[in-house]
Amino acid sequence: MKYRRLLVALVGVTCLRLALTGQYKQYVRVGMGRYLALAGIALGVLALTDIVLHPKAEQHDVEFDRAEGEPTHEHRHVPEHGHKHNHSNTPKIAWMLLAPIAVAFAVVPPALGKWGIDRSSNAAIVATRKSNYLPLKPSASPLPMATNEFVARAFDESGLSLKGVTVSIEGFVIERKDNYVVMGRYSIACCAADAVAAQVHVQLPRGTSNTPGTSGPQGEWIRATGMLIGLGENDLPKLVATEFTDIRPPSNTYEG
Amino acid sequence: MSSESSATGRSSGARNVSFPLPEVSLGALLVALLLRNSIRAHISQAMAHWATIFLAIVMQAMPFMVLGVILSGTIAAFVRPAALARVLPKSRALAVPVAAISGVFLPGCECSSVPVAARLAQRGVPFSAAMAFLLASPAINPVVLVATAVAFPGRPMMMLARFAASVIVASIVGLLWEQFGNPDWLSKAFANGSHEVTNPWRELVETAMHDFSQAAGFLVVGGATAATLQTVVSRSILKTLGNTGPLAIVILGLLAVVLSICSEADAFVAAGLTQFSLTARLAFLVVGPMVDLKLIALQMGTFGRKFAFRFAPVTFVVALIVSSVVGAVLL
Repeated sequence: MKYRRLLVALVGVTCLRLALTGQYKQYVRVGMGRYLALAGIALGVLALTDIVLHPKAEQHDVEFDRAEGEPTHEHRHVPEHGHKHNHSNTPKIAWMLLAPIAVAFAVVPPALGKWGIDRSSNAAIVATRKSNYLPLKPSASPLPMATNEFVARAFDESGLSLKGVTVSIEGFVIERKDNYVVMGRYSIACCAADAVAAQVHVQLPRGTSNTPGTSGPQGEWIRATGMLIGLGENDLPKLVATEFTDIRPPSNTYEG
Repeated sequence: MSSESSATGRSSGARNVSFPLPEVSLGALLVALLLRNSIRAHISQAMAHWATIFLAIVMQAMPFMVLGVILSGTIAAFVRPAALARVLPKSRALAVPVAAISGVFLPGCECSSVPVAARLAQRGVPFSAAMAFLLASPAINPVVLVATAVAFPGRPMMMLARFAASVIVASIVGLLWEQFGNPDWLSKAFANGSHEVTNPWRELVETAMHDFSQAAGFLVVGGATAATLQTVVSRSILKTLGNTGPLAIVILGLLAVVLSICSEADAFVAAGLTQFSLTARLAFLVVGPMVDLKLIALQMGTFGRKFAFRFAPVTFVVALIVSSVVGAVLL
């Protein structure tokens, strides 16, 4: 009984903390934060109310509270294992709730990165996004674009809608070669379990190189500005970059 | 340690002193938190990937689960099952599908539908109708349907197909019970048990606490299993399984049984199984809320072993057949 309250309250605190610190963004969609916080508060209230309503539950078998007004002899006939209202003990399975708490605060799992990228394909990105993009108007300044949109447009009519348009996309480095990098960015519908990475071949600007110790960008996250020119490595859309910079990981690691 | 053991004895009675589960579990959590720096330093990329997916599944489901158990507690406390019994048609052939569709009104997951259906049956609702309600409500209630629509953006037919297939399966299984079911399969505990709601607020909190501590515990197991599969199974293997045609429906049906994910969260997992056809994923969404490892355990506890071992396989087969047909027509 008392352990059940403790477990429910601990899960509540975990939800609330993940929501308030923003750590939740590494696991679920950004919009889920407020609902996670509400869920945490609700669990806390539930645990507190339980204490108020059953102050003596530790010594007192709650089964008899629930059955007030019924002849108690009925309960003696009921075999223990099949009793559906046997709420007096914390169900063993409830102890599993400590696992996500330990993972959240002892492991602090990072957002998905390049490990397991082979589970993603641009085909999955294209399948879940609309096609028939209208052509974009070429503009003087580069157009910031979601990487998944860039990939979807690149495969829609061979990238017709991107013709002559300079875009800038952000992502993490999957693979670093001499004159190009493979860049990726995850999209999630709801949580990291449904994440799929959009992947782009980024051709480095002339005169820069990826070899360590040279002028090229070296970080984990990059912003690349340039134009779509056909396909590159492994049939990934190829962005020929005119500008290429290291960036800090964006606060929204995942694209929607 | 000896003083901790005696604490267990006090809290859970003399029969449970063999393994100090609370002390060991809480101790393990404490050790993990104290060693967090070295855990973070030594964890492999694969383990970190697992941890991210695991926590993602659990945290995504959490708001849905909390909403579900609070609503289920509210209904347990304030809705009189006798009233539901009165509105059911007299004819069983009609009562069963009506009960299945009335599952719309229980916005919870499968873990809450088991006790509610048991309560309905104890208050005079025909058992076949209560079973139809039990099977349908976790899949067709508004919370789950909205979650399904959110998980499959741009594919509203998925939600509709899930609704239709679930109601059909629930009705068929209910009518099968009407024809072939035997009340002797039900446990004595179920046949004898019933209770009055004396204090609705207590009932609300008690039901919500009970449903949460049980259902969320099973959710953690399901999330861990799903995360393990996602981590160890590479895309090429899932792709091969996804290309197995009609067999893929059986594979995802079995996966739903093994994963035991709460119906409020399963659509998000199904959405990620992009290697599989929509019909196979429909089978996943129809089977999951009706037959899975945690449900079989819950049903054994509530209705008895003899019942559960007949009910689950029959439901599984009917669910696969109906999903294939509905998927072929609607998706």
